[in-house]
Amino acid sequence: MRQLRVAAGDDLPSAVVILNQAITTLYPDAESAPGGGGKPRPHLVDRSFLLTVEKGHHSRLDLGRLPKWIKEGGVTDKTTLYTSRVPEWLVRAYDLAFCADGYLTDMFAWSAALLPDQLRDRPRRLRDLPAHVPPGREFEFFAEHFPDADERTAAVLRAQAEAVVGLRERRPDPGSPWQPTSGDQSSSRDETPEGLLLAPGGGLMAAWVLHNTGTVPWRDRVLYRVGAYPGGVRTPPFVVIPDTAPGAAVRIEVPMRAPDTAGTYRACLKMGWPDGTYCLPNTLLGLYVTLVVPPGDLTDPTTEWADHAG
Amino acid sequence: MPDDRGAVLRGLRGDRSVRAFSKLLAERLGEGTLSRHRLAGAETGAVELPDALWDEIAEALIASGHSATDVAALRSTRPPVEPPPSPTPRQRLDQWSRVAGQVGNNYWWRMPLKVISRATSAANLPGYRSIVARHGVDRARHLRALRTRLDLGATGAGRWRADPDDGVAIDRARSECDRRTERAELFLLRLRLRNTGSVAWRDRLMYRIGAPVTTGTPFTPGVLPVPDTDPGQDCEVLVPGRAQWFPSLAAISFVMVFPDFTPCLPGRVCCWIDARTEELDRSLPLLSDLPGPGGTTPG
Repeated sequence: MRQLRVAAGDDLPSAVVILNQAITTLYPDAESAPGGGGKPRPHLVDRSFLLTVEKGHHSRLDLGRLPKWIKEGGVTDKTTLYTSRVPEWLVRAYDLAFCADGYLTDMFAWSAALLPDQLRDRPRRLRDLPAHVPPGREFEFFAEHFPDADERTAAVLRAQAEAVVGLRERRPDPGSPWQPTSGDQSSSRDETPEGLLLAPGGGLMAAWVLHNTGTVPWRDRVLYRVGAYPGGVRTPPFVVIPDTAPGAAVRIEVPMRAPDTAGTYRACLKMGWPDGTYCLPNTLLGLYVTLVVPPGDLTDPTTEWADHAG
Repeated sequence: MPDDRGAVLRGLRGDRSVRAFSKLLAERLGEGTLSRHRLAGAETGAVELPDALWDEIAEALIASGHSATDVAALRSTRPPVEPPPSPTPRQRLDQWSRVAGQVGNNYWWRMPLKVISRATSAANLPGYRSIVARHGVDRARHLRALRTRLDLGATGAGRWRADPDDGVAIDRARSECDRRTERAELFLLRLRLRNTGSVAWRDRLMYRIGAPVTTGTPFTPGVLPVPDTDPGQDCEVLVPGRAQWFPSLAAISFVMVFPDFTPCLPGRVCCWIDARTEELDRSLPLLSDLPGPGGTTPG
């Protein structure tokens, strides 16, 4: 939020003016100041409020009640955990005020999905796990958002459907438990550029090369899509990562489908085990790709202007 | 859309008493997470539970023998945030008019060289100083040109129409559309545009499609004035920016619009900012192993 606000200009009083104009546009009944208790309600803001939010002090996480994995993971500087719980109405107002094109509301969806996972005593997601894939309907599970998949996409989805069959009933091996360890590390190279322009509903095959740069063999791992929601970028709920030894690399393809509505969107994937435990919980973002769907009133925006030889 | 999860939960409870069902769930959720009273209230809809707790309930029921399909209806499908208003030309005009109206108060606008010196290295600073000197950047004139166009758009919305005889091409040989640079480094693109049609360009803008900055894409201004250009003539549009924070290859796209943000020409110009390095993007390690479910630490 701060990055976008500063991009529009770093003068805080000016930002307050612009933001309050946006709040009034979105919420004509916005209150003049924060009310006490209860559900957050839209209100006009001042400089002090913005500073509190942007510095991570607004309704922040209670550091006295950290989940076990954070305490045991050896966090020494608790200021790194400061994060504001920003109300939804303020995210929408920032998005409109500072021309974020829907990017902030998209990121809010991601953070709203990840936060409860990270606050569990083991960092873990609970939905769309391999065990939830209905037997005999594996391909339908992966292809839900790709009804008109081309040959290449269909081949990737079929491969995933086959891979999940073996994973569905898998249990952790005593020699290879499903728990984050300090020796685990993933390094990656993006093959997909950022900021690609896609037509509404357009398809993309995002790809990364993952390198196992740690000391732990990767077995039984998947890349979970974090923060999917109706109206956002559509992907399979997860893709299976082939087993990868330390020092080895593997190329992963993830089919994606752009939203139908104009905006700037980001799809994020995190590595996890079949029970939903995240392998690398300290790395919040994981793999990601940023896409842009242009407004519908623009004419043929995905075609580039001709070159003029001067 | 009404929330039916309470009724679904009631159905999943079946013949069990609320007490017994609450006890079953507590084995997985932990004591005190969902009291009998809260459970009963959730079933009738009198009590609202957070989506994360519904997920925990679904997981607890799967662990107790229900199938994932049985509990799928307990998962929330509503977006966690209402989407922003659908973008329209008028909305874009209003947004950028509000921002442009305050630009003159900004530190970086009033003291650009000072900001540049903070944003770049000592080695690169002389280069930027010479760019500023060479292009004679007159900030006041630039801002006036932008504000004039935005004011025109606000007062004359609807008076412009795209003309099929209008045309544009980009002279890539005399432009700098793409840049190879370090992450977060400043850059200046030069777009040399040729008016290839028979319509004079007056009071036009270049509008960047998408957010003006994200962690993965470069920062540039969202709107820039296009110099008035007659048919057959060229103009140059300077695009200042800062490369993306994370090393990546990123695309930025501009279209040409009238002052009311309606499109004047089809298509776009796409520029590439390449901040990739040989280094791989690495995950952040844990400082120590986490114990397993039985409290054991892997050897």
